[in-house]
Amino acid sequence: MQSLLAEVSGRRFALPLNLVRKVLPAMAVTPVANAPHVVDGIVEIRGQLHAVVSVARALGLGNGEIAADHHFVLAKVGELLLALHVDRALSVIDLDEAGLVPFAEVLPGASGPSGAVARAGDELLVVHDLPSFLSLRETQATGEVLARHAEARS
Amino acid sequence: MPVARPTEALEIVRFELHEESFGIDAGLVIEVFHAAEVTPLPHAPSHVRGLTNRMGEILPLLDLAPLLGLEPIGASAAGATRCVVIGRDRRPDFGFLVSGVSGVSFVSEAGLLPLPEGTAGGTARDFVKGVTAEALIVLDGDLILRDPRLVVSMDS
Repeated sequence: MQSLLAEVSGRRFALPLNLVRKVLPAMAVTPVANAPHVVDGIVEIRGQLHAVVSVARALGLGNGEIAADHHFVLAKVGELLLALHVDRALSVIDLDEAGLVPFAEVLPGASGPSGAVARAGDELLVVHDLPSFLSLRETQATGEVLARHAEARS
Repeated sequence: MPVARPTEALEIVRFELHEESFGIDAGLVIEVFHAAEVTPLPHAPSHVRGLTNRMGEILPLLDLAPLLGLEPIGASAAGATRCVVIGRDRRPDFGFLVSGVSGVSFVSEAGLLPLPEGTAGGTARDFVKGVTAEALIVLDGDLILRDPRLVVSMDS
């Protein structure tokens, strides 16, 4: 499975490449009201509004301040255009699907997060499931933020 | 001279969560180890700290403290995380974070006292077998391993 390898707060993880549209240098973000905790704000890229998602905050790895050498990974998840803020997008890798272990096989409890984990030497590499990277509530609130600002612009 | 095992005694591993002392059936404890790296996950319940690599095996790392009515356990200053790995039949189910491990000892199950009123509520009481006269809280490891929030289900 082709995946984008990225890093946040010194931790590497993978995102399935099929939903990734582009990687750009991080840019200035417009803060917005009533955004979910994981959303930094919005950016306009080629005329389209994207919600900037802090991967650091989504993973509980600190506040994730945006720096000039950081990257935005653009992805379309359902109807949402997202710019995932990562410290660095590193490379495209090919993960052996047979070696991926779904979270459901290793995590306790019936309703856990979606995704899979691969062993990369001593390291565990999490392959995040982009459609469920935001919770249902976060997805809904992010959609409302984008719709509100798109309407205000038109 | 070795200490004789008391009749009707339960062998426990003693550990600390913050300032509280706990014990769990030593027969369920597979090992105590430092998880050098914990991989966090989005939207995981508060008692799921993440995944760790234990000798090439993917092991969930939990924080039982919130389920026992305590504040979550923070990572140690050294960056390593000490945890107790438990499971049945020597197969690890999960590791849980501890503030420290103080050893192995025997307690008399018959001599355990009920948890005093007001010390813990809800789930915490469900997981407790009783308290020793030295204020060591003895957990029911079998109940913990059967709790739906803590059981790994491949059907989920």
